Amino acid sequence: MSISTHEKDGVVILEPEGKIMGGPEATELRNRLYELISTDNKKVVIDLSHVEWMNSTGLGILISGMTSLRNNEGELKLANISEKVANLFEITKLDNVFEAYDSADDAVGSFA
Amino acid sequence: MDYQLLIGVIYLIFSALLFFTGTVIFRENPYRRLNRVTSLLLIFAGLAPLFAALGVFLGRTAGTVEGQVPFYENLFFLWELFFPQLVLFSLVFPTEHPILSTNTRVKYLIFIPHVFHILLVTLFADTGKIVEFLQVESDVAFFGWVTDRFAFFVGFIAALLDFLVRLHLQTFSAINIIYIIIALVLFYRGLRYISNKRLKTQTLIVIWGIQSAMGLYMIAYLLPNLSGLHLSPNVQIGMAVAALAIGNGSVIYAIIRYQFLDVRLIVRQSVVYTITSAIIVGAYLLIISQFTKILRDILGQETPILPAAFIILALIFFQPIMNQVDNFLKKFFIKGKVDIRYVADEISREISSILDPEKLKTSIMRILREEMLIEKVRLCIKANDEAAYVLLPQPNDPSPEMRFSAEDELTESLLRRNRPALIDEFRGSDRKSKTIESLEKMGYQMIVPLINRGKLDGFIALSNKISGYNYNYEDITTLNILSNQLVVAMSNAYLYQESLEKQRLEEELSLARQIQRDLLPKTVPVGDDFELAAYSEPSRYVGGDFYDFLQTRQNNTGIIIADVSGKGMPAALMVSQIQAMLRSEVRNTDSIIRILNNVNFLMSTTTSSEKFVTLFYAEFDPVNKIMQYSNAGHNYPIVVNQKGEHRFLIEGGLLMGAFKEATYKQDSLKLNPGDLVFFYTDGVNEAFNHEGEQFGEERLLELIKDLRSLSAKEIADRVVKEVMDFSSSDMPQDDMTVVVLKLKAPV
Repeated sequence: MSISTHEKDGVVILEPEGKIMGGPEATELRNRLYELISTDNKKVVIDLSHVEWMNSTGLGILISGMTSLRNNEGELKLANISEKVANLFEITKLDNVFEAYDSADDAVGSFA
Repeated sequence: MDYQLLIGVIYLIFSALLFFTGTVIFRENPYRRLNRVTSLLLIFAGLAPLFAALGVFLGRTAGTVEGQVPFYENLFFLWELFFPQLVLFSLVFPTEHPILSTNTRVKYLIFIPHVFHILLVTLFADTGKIVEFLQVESDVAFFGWVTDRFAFFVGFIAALLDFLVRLHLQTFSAINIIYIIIALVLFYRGLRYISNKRLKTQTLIVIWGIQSAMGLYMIAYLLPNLSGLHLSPNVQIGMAVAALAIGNGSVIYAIIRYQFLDVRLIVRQSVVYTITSAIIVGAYLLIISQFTKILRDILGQETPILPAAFIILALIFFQPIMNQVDNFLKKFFIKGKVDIRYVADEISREISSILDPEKLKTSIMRILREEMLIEKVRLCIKANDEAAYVLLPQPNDPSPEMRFSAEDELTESLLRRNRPALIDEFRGSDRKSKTIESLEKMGYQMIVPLINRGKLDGFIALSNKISGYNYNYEDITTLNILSNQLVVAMSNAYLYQESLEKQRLEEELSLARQIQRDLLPKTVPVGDDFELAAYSEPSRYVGGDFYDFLQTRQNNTGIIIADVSGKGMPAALMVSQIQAMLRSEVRNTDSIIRILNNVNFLMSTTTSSEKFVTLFYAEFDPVNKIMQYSNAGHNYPIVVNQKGEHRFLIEGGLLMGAFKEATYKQDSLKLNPGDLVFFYTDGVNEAFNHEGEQFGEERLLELIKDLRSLSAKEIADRVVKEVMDFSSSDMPQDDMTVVVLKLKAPV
């Protein structure tokens, strides 16, 4: 899985691609998030427009990324959640926990 | 006379021991020059006590030339070949003198004086006989004339010869002593070239033994000639034999310690050979004598032909019988230890049968030390982290375990060479290697790389050989073959170990699976108006799904279905933890909300936020047909009534275990006869087929609606079957759990 990273208005945007189903690609996303936390990047948006599917491992990574950021007075927001993934968020009631936006720009804007 | 007999027997035993030790050393490795030279040395030495014993037994004192000289007495001088042989031995032991390879004739040349000496004493020892012979011939007229003319001349020659022989006999012992001195000088020279402590000690033992022997020999033979001191021939011979015993004893000891290591084997072999030979010879003599007696009784007279015939017969049969006995003994007492060419063969046989890597390591070290006679051998194996090579500790080497960086130049250098290399070969850039430096300091001379599929698994470090010889081409070839075999054997051993480990792990997993299965309810609660059915199958041995049926404090039926994040063993461990928490909470708490809040809090504080569980908890009141429930982020259970209308059970809260501040809500619902509630985990709706298409909630909903008139068990079975058929597999792709609650339809 490739994860492209760019920054906008002091917000780091991660754009993973593919499925987040555990294995090396999940580890990569986890490491990237921890790296950001350790380098004091507190505003993070994960753009899920290229993520077709994720399982419980993927959810776990997002949850732990978010809690870690919150514990460091940061925030993790999501953007462009596909319908299938949105359904997953809905079932698990995580949609109440994560702030999700229709676009990465909206997510970045919400930090202002 | 008894005293004489005793001496004779002692001589005979001593001679037999020398012969047999000589034979054993020869047989040990006939390809080695040292073995050949040593065995011949011992056999020459053995001739002296043999002939001395013959002399004693035949009532004569050996070693004298007065009067009539029997044949064995002339042969007695054969033992003096021992002296040139000793010089030859000193050229071979402790190290081979270069002269042997530059001038191959040397080994024959040194025998010339003794061959001449023996010919002289054998042919001309009895000069009187020669004169007599010539005079007998003179009876013929013509020769008579000639010999008469030359009678004086013949007499003169005879006298001269006689004088020469006497002079020669008097002085030849001096030549023997010169030979001994040459041998000693060569031993001392060899001593300077060897660094091996053990070998040095052994050479010194030989030197001391030979010096003492020389002392005795000089007293016995040189002193009387020089000073006129008279020693009886018996004393002389006794001293010579004692000298031989000391000299050869030291040689035997040193050789055995130096080369064969297994002293017990040598001793056992010598003793076994000596005893069996004695028994066979004794038995033969007994049979012959008895047979002769019988024949004499039959024939009534002595026939000189018969004993002779028996001796011939004995000679014919002796050798084959001895060979048989020899083979038999070899099988029982003697290992097939032969020359270096077979070492590799033997090693491959031995190591290919060892499947324990640790045993393999010690075994290869032992073989190298014992078969190739290398002082110190150590194995260096790549550490588990692959960052270093670890020099494994060795019982005979006190230096501790050492680590060499895998980044060291040596790694690359050994890979490039791909063959055993002497430390001296590492020149130039290789020399920078710290590993080489420390290995050299520790006294290692040779590095044998262990290369497996282009990677350096490790290497064997070898010190000098015990003999002090340098490693030759043959050794390097052997080491090369051996290292390749070792690499194969090691990887086999590791594979075998891995398969054992895998097997053990599989057994553990089977056990875990059994434990997990046992944690699921063994029976399903049944009521007058309702029935329950459940199915749960992990995708691996164990899984993260579970269901449970509990009796609540209000005597309602508690129904739990849950799915822990992740799969396999980590998920299974969490399952049992959550299961225990829930059972305890349900027993002690009245409210669904409090149960879920408590479990969530406990879980959140004990597990990482990445691990969570989605869980649905319901309490069904079978009397009032009311179900209270709370859904903690789990797939919505589906309620379908008899008409085929459906609703989802959504109310609850977040998935559990990730947020400790999460709180839960509950809802309730009145069920009617014929209603069914379908609980499931995502293994059902997320099952996919070959096209990657998911089974999906809609298909599931339609299926359940179609099946609504069936019993709980039938519904569960049918759904599972449909899902399996859809994904065309016998095993679920993900952990899959289904629970069905069905209220009996009115009759």
